[in-house]
Amino acid sequence: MFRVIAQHQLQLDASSTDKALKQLLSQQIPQLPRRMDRLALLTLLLAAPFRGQLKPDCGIYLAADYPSLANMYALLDTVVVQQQLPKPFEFVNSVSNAACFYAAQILQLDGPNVFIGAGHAPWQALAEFAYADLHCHIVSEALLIRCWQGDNQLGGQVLQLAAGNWQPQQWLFSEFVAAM
Amino acid sequence: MTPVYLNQVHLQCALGNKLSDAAACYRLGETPQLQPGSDAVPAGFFAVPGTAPALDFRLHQLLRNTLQAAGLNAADCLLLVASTALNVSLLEQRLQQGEKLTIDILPAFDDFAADINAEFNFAAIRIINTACTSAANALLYGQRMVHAGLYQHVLVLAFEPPGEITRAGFSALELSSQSGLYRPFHPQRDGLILGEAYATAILSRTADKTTLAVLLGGYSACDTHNITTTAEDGSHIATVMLQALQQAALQSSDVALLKLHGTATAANDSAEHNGVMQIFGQALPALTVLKPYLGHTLGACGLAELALLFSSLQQGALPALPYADNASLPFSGSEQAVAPQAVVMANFFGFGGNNASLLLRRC
Repeated sequence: MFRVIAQHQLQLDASSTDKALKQLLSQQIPQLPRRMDRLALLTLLLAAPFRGQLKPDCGIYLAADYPSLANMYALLDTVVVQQQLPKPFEFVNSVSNAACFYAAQILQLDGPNVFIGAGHAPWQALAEFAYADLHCHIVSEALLIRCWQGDNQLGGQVLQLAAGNWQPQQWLFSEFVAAM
Repeated sequence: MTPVYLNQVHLQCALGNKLSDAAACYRLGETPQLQPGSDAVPAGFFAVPGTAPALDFRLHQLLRNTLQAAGLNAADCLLLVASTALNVSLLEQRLQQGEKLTIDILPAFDDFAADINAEFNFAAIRIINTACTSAANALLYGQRMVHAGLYQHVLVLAFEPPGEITRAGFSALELSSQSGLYRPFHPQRDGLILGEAYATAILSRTADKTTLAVLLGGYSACDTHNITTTAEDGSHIATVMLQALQQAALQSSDVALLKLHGTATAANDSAEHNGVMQIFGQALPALTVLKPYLGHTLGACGLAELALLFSSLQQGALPALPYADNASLPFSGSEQAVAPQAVVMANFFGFGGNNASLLLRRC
């Protein structure tokens, strides 16, 4: 089923501001895209260590529990509460795969990208999408990103996978890491 | 790639609450009545006719009917949910009724899945959001997961309710039609009209008596040119269409009908025009656009448009495009018959650089 190539984990202070996240990111990526929301910033922080390490057709599979919370709050406040038109970039960012787009851009990938709700078993969900593409030879590598934001959490975990013979039993991140 | 059959296809859209009725209206060339906008969001939209049931009631009923008609238990199916707005419209309604907005009331994706599985017990539920390619990707990944042996049956639920945020967002981007005329590839096109839609289909290795089409393959990839527009030279669209043909082991000359994405926004129509010409040159297949009849149903369009198209093809010829003589691509000014077993290519593009192209065969 899989071969686990690399992994990355990140745990940040949940009270970190977006500005602090941008500063952290700018240490790794000289030219940042503009007007990214918190989910996109977090996704890039998780993806940045894989720059230059991935094949161009690598697929990106991103799971999160929520869309960017601050962005969704701002949209609801502007449109529903204040009855005004939103800022264009806030609306565009509310399409949650915006985070995938920015990740593909900084990683210089041109394969598929998919955003999914994390659900109860995020690693099984992500791995099934990746396996479908690996099995069908759509991609030769897969980058699986699991973001945590909200509920006093800010961070995530990343796996770089290829097709192989190892199969997870419980679909836990730790199990994937142990299989490296 | 294992072909998968689109069985038990249901659609509630602006042309009707039943797929066969909507297809009959489409074949007559009827377009929906534009629902007026509000002071805050002047752009109108195409709504499903009749009194709107609550969103959760409508979705549960649609899933129940689809499973019952197929004789399947939810536990035998993966449920792939494709929608950009999901259930945010329910939150919009609560705020309109006076509830105070706080971060704590923002719903998690898992809340939606939990509500579905309070009645059903699907093998798994996955919520896909890749903007306007959400349902197209649900179909592609459904096929790949069946091919990979992960699931026997995949139920795709694709829907887009008429949310305030979505309508206001497209107005803010100045992509909504001011004229109220939805005319993709017309020289005076002036943007899109959003449409409400709810659709289901069951993907299986075997056909049943309701099968509309068989999905042969397709391709979806991310164009990192710009977050809202694909490369205007059509190069990425052409790459995706070419890869789709390769995945389905077909050539461009095998395609009898091309369903264009056709949003009627200048950037999309121009890029798609260029991409199509790179693949087909002067040997263009028959062309069709569905958004004038459904509205742009965003994350649902990948299934809603295919449902309307293939149901209509079962009934007979497709209608003429009224402005064919003025369009920038050679649409037919008269009815188009499409042969049984004909291959159809269907394009879907979206924000976030998502471009997808699917190959299907009539059943």
